[in-house]
This record gives sequence, structure tokens and C-alpha cells, in this order.
Amino acid sequence: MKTKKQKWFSESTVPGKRDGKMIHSFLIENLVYKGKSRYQDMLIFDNSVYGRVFVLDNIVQLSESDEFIYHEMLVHPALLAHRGPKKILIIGGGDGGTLRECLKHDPEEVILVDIDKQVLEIAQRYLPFTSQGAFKDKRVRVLHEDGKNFMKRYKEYFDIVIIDGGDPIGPSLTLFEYPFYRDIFAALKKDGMAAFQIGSFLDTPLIQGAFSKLQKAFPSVIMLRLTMPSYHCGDYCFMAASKKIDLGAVSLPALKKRFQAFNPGKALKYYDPYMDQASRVIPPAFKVK
Amino acid sequence: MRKKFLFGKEWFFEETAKLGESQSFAWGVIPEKVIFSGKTPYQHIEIFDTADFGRMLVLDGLIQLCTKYEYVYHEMLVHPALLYHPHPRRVLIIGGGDGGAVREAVKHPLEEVALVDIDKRVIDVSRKYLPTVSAGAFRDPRVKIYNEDAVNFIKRYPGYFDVIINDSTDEYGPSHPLWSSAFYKGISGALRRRGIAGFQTAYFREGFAKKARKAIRGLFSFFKVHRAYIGCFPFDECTFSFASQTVDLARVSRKTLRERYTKAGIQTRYYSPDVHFASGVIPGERILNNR
Repeated sequence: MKTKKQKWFSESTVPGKRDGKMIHSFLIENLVYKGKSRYQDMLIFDNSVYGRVFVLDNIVQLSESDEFIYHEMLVHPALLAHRGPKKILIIGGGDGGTLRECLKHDPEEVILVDIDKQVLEIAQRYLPFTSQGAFKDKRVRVLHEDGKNFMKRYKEYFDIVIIDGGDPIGPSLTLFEYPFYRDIFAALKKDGMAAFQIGSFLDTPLIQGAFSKLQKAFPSVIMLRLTMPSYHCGDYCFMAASKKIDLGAVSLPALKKRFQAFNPGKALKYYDPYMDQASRVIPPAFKVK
Repeated sequence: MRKKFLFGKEWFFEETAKLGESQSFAWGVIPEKVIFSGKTPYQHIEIFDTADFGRMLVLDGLIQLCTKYEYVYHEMLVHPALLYHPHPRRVLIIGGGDGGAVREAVKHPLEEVALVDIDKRVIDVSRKYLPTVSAGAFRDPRVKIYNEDAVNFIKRYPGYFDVIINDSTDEYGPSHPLWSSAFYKGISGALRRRGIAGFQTAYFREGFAKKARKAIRGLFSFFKVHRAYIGCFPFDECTFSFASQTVDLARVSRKTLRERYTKAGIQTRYYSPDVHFASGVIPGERILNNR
């Protein structure tokens, strides 16, 4: 299977710890970029099954074959539940995929805060399919600073906040803590809501911890379930939290109506109102007590 | 396949090349402790313990189940089929020698469950080393075990079963004839009026699985795919296909499913009538590219 000449990338992180006892390996068929930013190791390569793959600190961030699942599911459930978001904040998301999906909702202003300038540069150069020119949009402002500190400076300003950071290891750890969730609550307008990338459903303590901390900070919190084939343990969990609008009460007929009015340009590949409803169904064994 | 890899450890990698899978990705686990390894007239059986998935059953180099997540697979293979049927009494399970599908089936108020697995050794070894999988279901008086070729078995039971569940291994080795149109026709012939067939149909993208779904869709009047992510099959969601000549599966409502689920009085960890609905919603991109 593996000859000496072949180069493989292996992700061996298991829920909650590094260097686990299972690995997900990709053949590096074409090495596109390998380097180090001020904050992290960056790797981009091509694989015949997953397309172009983007890796930060040895963890797959996205692949050409399924990034649309991640970005559509992180953005559209919250933005369609809100009905009319004008001011949006994205923390992380330097690859531009979340930004690309947000712009389809015709906002007035989108601020993207990603601490690592080099990720944006490398992504725009080698992963143009992700941002698709979104960074050139006039409504977009990009800042390179710590998202946690940025959040503290805003009160009741944003309609939507999206946390598109890394796994809860190292610098991203604080993005999974209660004080940060409380600051997001404060930065949101009265009817504002937030969406969070969380992690694998196989990592039960992570899911339970994030859910209970969010519930402490917000009156309405839901989990969304999606499958990310390129991710290690790709049974994946996002969460959405809202200050006023009851996320659990968004009905299929209402959603279908809004989706019809929402004109995303080209058709979406994964998200539709049925997928939205289906993704909210959490199997009994995965529910948080 | 065993190979020295990361951390100087011995890793287990699946032999996916035999399924025509691309060799440009792989998934490996460390077998912490070998529990059983042996050859039968039909296949090679391996059982080992892992840190993150519990005990694993491997046939001819391909992972069949892990004790930590097998409930997802077995519940999603069995309960949709049994609840699509208004009142199932006679059930046939093809393959499934590990006993997980039988365990889920006997939760329902059935009269008769037949299990046909060509390889008696798989049943014996599973009962001994994977006792949580069958959980005593083989001792249920309603269950009869037949160790013979399912292709011949179904010919003897025309119009007999309410539900037939095909829990075979993927298309290689002893299971090869179970992935043919002739066999799907045989299944249709062995079903009673209002009969339902359920099939494990592997990942969305696998060639043999696409071919199978297409053939089943063509042979039955009604067809529906469900999907579930199973921890030890990490490359994508697995598909489960359900088919009937008389029951329009898409029109069995959530309300009906809830009523039947309550009436059957079953306990499940993954399946629920809501999960049934959600697992039947297939993303548009999948419908276009992976049918």
C-alpha cells in the first residue's frame, strides 16, 4: 500500500488529545505549499479523492471536496433564522469560505477578524475556490488581531457573530470558554444570534461542555449535525445561539418561504430547508443531558 | 494489513483495494490486543481490541463493526425497515452472523426471525468474543439460524416474509452473489404483500454500492435511501436502502412512524422516528453525483 517514495499526510488527533491510536491518512499527490506563519504550520496538497487539502498545525481545515458542506451549514441556518442580518462578524475563517456564504445574504457590513494574516494570503493564492473573490468585496473589512479582545470593544452592534476558529487546542481554546460566549452575547443586538464550529460528535465531553456553557450565556441554543468526510471523526457538530428569537421554533414552512426569497446567486450544494431541519435532529444517544 | 507506522507501533489498515477503492487515502487503528484470528472455509476472521472503538470484527481485511458504534449501524439497518411495514411478523436476515441485526429485530413483537449466514464460524466466534452484539438474541425462541447459501434459501420461501434485511458484507468473497440483480429479484419474490426489503449499501461514493442502489431502485416500485455516520467507517456516511413493491416509503408519515414506534414498545439509542425522517433527507449534491 505505501511505498517509500510516496509522501503521506496523517492526522492522528483523536477527540480531546493529540497522537491518538487511530489515523486518517491522505496521499500527497502534489505538494502545493508548505510553510510556517507566525502562529502555525501550514500545508496545502492535492489528493485525487479530496481535491486540494488545507492543513494547519497538522489538522485538516478544509478540502475542496467538502468545504461547501462546512461553510453552508455554518452560515445559512443562523442567517435564515435571523431574517435580515445587516452587520456580521466572523472570528477566524481566514480561508474566506464563511465570508463567501455570508455575502450571499446581502449584508451591509462584514468584519472578519483572523489573527493570522498569512493564512489569508496563502488561502487566496492557493485555495481560490474557497473565498471566490469575497475579500475584494467593498462591504468587507479584515482585521488581524485577537478575536477575544476585539469582541470586548463592541456592544449591541452585530446581528450575527460567527466563530469559525480552530479546534479547542492551544490558542483557540479560549474561543470555547464561557467568558467569550458572554462577550459575544453583549456584542450582539437584541435579536442577534451566533453560530459556532464546535467539533466531532464522537468527542462527547467537548460537545457537552460547549452546549452547557452556551446555554448559560444564551436563552436559545441548538445543535446542528453534519458529516465532513475529510475530517478525522467527521460526524460533526455546529451550534447556534440566539438572544431573543427561539431557534427551536423555526418551522419548515417558514424556512421554505425565506429560502425562496433568499437569492444566493448560484444554487447551494448542500444546504436547503430540509437539510436544515434534518441537521437539527440529534440521535438520542448524542443528546446532552 | 499490518504495518509499522507512526510512533513505531503496529497499525491495522483496511484492505480497501479489493473494493476498487482509491489507494490515495487510508484509515488505521492500533490493535491493542488480538482476541481471535482464524480462517473459515469462506473467509478470514480477526477480532481485536482498540483504544477508541472497543472491540473490532474484521472479515477478509475489512472492518465489519466496532462495539462502540455498532448500535448506530444495526438500528439504522433494522428499524426503518420494520417500521415502514404496518405489522411485520416474519423477518429474514441475510448475513448478519454477528447477531446485531437479530438483536434489534427481536425487540419488535415478531413471530419468526430467520437468520441465514453461510458461515457458521462467524456466528460461533461472535457469540463467544462479541457477546454484547447479539446480546442473547440467538437464544430467543423466535430465532432460527440457517447456515446455507442465501441465494438458494430465498427460493424456498416465495411470498413468505414481511421484511427481508440484507446485512451482507461488501461485494467481495462469499457475499459476491448477494450483490446481483438476480438476488434482488429473489428477495422481491420472497416478500409477502406489503413486504419491505432493507439493504446495507455501503458509502455513497463506492462504485459497487452505486450499482447496487441503481439495481434495487430499478427492481422495486418504491425505493428510499437513508444515511448514517458510523464511527468506525470514517470516510463518509453509510447508506441504507429500503425498497417495496407496494408500500410508498416516502409517504409513510412521521406521525405514523411515531405511532408504530410507540406501539412496538422498543428502546433504541440512535434510532428515533425523528432520526428516521432526518436520515432520509439526502443532500442535493449527493443526489446529483452519488446516486
